[in-house]
Formats: sequence, C-alpha cells, structure tokens
Amino acid sequence: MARPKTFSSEQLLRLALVCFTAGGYEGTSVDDLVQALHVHRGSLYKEFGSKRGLFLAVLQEYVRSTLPSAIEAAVSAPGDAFDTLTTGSELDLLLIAGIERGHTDLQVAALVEQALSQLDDIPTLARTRMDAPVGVRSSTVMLGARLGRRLLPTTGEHPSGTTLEEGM
Amino acid sequence: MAQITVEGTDLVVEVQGMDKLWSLRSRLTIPLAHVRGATSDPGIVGDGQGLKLGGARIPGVIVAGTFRQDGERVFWDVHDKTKAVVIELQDETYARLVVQVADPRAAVELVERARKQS
Repeated sequence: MARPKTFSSEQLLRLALVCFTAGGYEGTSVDDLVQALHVHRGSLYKEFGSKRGLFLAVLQEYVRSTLPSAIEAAVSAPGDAFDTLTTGSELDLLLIAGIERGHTDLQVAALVEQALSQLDDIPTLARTRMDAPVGVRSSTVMLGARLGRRLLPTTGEHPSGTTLEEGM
Repeated sequence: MAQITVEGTDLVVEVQGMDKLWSLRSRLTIPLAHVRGATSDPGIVGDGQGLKLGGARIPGVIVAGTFRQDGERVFWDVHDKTKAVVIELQDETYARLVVQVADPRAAVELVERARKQS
C-alpha cells in the first residue's frame, strides 16, 4: 500500500524535523515518526531506508534551506541576529546532530560543518545590511548560548518546573 | 533470533537454533550494495505481518518466516520485539528483514558502517 499522499516530501521532512528537534535522535522512535508523519511504516523504510536515512535527509534540507532562511530572517529583522537565532529553536537540530551523531557519522559531521560555516558567515552577511548590528560571534559561541537557552528557556527555570539547583 | 555479520561485501544473516525450523531459512546472504539501512524498531511487530507465506506465527510468542504485507515480501524472525531490527533492502526477493538480534544498537551500527565502506 502506498502512503496516503497527504504530505509532500518537503512537508514530511519538516514534520520529521519537528520530531527530531523535540525528542533528539535516539529519543525519537520510528513509532513517533510514523505517527507524526502519517505514513505507513513500510513507506517510511521504502523512502528513506532507515531512521538514519530520514535524519540525514532532514539535516540536508536543514542545511540547504531551513537554516539559511532562518539566518536571512534574523539578519533582516530589527535587533541582534545573535539574540534572534539563539532565542528561537532554529539551531536545535544542529545541536542534536552535533551532539548525538556528529562524532560517529561522517556524513552528519560534514553537514554540521557546513551549518557552522553558515553561522560563522553571519557577521559578513550582516555588514551588507545597512542597519543590522554587527557582532562578531563564532558559531560555537552561538550554539553554546542556544544550548543554555534550550535548557533554561526563560528566567532560569527548567521546563520541568524545577530550577536547575532543585533538580540536582 | 538471528546473528548479523559482514563477510567481504555481503551482509550475512544467520538464523539461530530452532528458529531455522520455524522460519524455514537458516542463512540469508545479501550484497551490501542492496542494503539500504538498518533501524532498531520495537514497534514494527505491533503493526502486524500480513499474509503468512511460509513459517510460524503465534502472537506474542514468535513471528518467523516469510510474510507478504502491502505487496511486499518480508522475512521475520522475532520473539522479543524490544530487540527487533529492520534491515531495508533493494533488488532482493525480500523488501526488508525484521530480525531479533542480541544487541540492536551494535547490529544497526555494524550494518550502517559496512554500507558506508562497501
């Protein structure tokens, strides 16, 4: 049975991106993906070969389109692009790819490297915009800031409702 | 239960013990070029197997043998669904293999690494 043609490939990848961003690579099961993408399990395997195959496709699309668009939007918007990018969740897939897969999967590592160089190019890109504030911050500083904000979204309070100290 | 090894440019799936009887197969040899990937997937057993073409199925106990589901031929050898690994194939009799292995994480890594090197 072919998968119901409800979603285009791009939409499928976008939905899978949401899954992986929320649950991480290991934490996202094939059950989670089948449910979120509304596809038959067999179709998922037929199209992507494996969970890794799907993750790679998501990451390729992220590096090709999602991240460049997020950077473009952040640089064009008023305010500091650094703040905009580290406050939203656009960098989260990059964090997950780097932490969970980058050290064992060469294809993931190469894509992470491409994404990092896009982030490193932000100051150059910002300089071409008249009123964009230019701050020189490396991709790694940006990812560190994003990681902190993912852990402690607002005033130091952990998503679970406990502060970090209470949780220790 | 099955054992997965790599021999040269082939992936070899050896069916263990009595499962050879239930599944009617003892060994499957697949060129690595025909292997599209491997995934640990405990949930796949719950989706059902479709039509049994040869083998054994006792719900909750064993699924072993050749089944046809959604027009695809799938080889199964699973007792414990928590250790089920899906190996997706192309240009083979079977569209995929669903086999129980001792260490799913290690099996997935072995297959993915062998694919990249082949």
